[in-house]
Amino acid sequence: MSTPIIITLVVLGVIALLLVMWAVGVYNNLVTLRNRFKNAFAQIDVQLKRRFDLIPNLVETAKGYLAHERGTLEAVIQARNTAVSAQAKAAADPGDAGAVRGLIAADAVLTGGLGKFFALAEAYPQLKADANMRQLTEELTSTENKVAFARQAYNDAVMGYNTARELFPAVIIANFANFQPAQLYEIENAAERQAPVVKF
Amino acid sequence: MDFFAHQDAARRSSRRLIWVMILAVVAVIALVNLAFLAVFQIGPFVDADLFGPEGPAPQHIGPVLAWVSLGTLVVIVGGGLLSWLGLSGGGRAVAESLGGRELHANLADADGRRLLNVVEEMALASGVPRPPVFVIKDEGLNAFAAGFRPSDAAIGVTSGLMKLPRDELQGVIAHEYSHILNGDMRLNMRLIAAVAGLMAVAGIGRMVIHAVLRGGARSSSRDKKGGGALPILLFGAALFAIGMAGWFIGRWIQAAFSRRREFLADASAVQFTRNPDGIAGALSRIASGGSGVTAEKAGDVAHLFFADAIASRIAGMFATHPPLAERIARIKGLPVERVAGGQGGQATPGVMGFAGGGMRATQVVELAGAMSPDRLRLGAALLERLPAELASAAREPVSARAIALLPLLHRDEAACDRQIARIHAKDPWLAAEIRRLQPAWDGLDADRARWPLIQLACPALGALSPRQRASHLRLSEALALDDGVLTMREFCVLRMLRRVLGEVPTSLQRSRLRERADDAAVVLGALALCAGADPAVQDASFRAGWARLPLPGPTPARPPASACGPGALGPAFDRLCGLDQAGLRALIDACAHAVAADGKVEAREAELLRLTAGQLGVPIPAFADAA
Repeated sequence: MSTPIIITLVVLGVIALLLVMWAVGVYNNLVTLRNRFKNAFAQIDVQLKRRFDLIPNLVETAKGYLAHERGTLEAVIQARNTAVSAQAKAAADPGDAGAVRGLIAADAVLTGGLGKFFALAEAYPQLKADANMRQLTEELTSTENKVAFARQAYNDAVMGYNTARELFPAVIIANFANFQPAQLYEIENAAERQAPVVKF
Repeated sequence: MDFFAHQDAARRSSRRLIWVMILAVVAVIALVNLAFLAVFQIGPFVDADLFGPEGPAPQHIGPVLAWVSLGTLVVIVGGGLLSWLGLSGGGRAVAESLGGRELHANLADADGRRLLNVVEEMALASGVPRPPVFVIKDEGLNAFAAGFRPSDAAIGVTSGLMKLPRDELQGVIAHEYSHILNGDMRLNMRLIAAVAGLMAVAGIGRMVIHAVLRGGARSSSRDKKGGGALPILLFGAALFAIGMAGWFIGRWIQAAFSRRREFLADASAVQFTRNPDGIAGALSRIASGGSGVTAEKAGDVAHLFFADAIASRIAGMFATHPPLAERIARIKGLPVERVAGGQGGQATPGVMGFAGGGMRATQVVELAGAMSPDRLRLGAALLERLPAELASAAREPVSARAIALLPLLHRDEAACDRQIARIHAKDPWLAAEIRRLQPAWDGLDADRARWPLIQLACPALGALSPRQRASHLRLSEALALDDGVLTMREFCVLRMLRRVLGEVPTSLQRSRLRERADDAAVVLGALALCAGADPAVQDASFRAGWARLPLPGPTPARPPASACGPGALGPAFDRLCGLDQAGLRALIDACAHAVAADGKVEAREAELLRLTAGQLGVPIPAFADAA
């Protein structure tokens, strides 16, 4: 074996090692970014939970005034329960894009139902004057804001992860190690994007 | 030893480590060369092409060995650099790479809440911002502190540890806090990178073996002249062995450097809590339950942990932590009362004397990074006395923004209304939240409660996304500049905020106070401007501060106000961060005397002093209140 061959081997070996180390670095970075968006989901989760916990109280309070609007109230409770189970599924693994999409859809249905509920409540001045109702509405608005804020942080984290995942040449490692794209938490249409709470 | 002396000692051993590491690298390179010679020259594989039948020709050996050495060096440095890049994100990055999940105060369950309370109490007691806490899912009992400086530290604990009784948990956290206060973390981060570099040589050896074994199997059928493969295989094996030897050397260095700091941290934990049973109890539990952590990377960062994270078969020499029995015996043998009268204890009597109204300026340096059982109780009391709405807002990322904006609001009502209108234009909910919290905030003692509250809010701000951080920073800047004037206080709050929101400070250039006299004059000049409107008072403040600096020559004239503006002050702070510890100590002392021209530090002055010291990376806790 001649000198140039050995030198070439040494150089190649060093390059190969640096490549492997680079790959490990990319992998670790992806893992970190994935953890980050999963952690960000926990912030949405806790606020959604609060929101979902408020709704039965809200309906309970309204029941006395809206005796003839049972259908709307039941629809809200129904939508709330669906959203709760969708939330549990998404919280178990925020990396599961399907589960997150399920939660987004369930959340949209609930938001629509609440919109109807508050539109209805407009016609009942006594309900609007109820102290309990006012407080619950206020809490719901505040929670809605917190959800929106947490959603923004989550979407930023997802975007960071998805971008890192798709960049060449990291995408090779991402596909090889099965890093799935993450789902943005987006509100579908403009009507639902509005906070559902009508001002009292 | 005080805060500065501890930091200094850690830095010195950190520097010593560099020399030992260089020696290790040279040794590994020499070994690689030897292995290369042995494989290709001695023994049955003498290569006629390379060295000729008569033996080695010197003109051939030289360049080949030079290449081999260079290659080895590139591998070691490259491996170390890659690892260092991963660490440069600070404690957060290390905790995340170990699979830690941040424990957010608003998401924590009962166990998590208790752990955060313990950490928060220590943060308030020592003045170090509460570090983010990460939980690693693992039933082993272990914990670590990582980061480069107190402001970017992170604490990690295993989920098993969270179930310990409170006093044992407190002992472990006190141990980790002492790593933060004693400046051990920077040393630890260097150790990680160094061992990773040495480890890389073993990696390349393993790759060579794999490549040759695979390539050899493929080529042997059609190529009878595969004789070259065996030496390469042997060389690969030698590389692997040398890499492992390098790794062992690295681990041994890791162990030698970290074991001493572990004993110190144990002793400090007892000193902080005055309760040897807490930490000893946790250690005995580890002795019976095990401290192993299964995260893949735990080996590289073994010395970060509270107890040995990886079971070492060759116990003793390579253990990153001293034997548990020895640690327990030492802890039990500590003269508790005397130790408790050490670092933190010295400051305690003076601090407690503050109740009378104003603490003496000379005592401020002793307070830096001080921790003692009394201070710990004080931290707990502070935490308890905070109004519930403020405390819960500080722990929620959305509302923590409101807490961080409160110190920027003007005291003048009209100006304050204008600021809130500005916030309302950007985020109505945030403006409403500030209005909601404002009465409680106004009722807080400016020095003793407001500052701790902001400290509590810092980790929640860490949950903001980069975009949200940037927008919050812009809003804060707009608020501070709303009246067209940037006060020293506002300037310091903004800079602190920038650091909390993840702006990594530029690398420090080490220097002595003598070389930075101009910068020190700018800082003292800016503080003097806060002393009052009368130029004579300002001059007196500047002279009082300057007199404390151990600099030769007469006191210079106070720099004009125009020379102490934000444009000059910022870079001056940046450069002063690189001061050696003796210089830093003198400068903090000088600042204390400039702020308190009458020798007593009042609450309002203390806040300014704390903000200034914070710019220099020196934590000054809230002054004690005997109540």
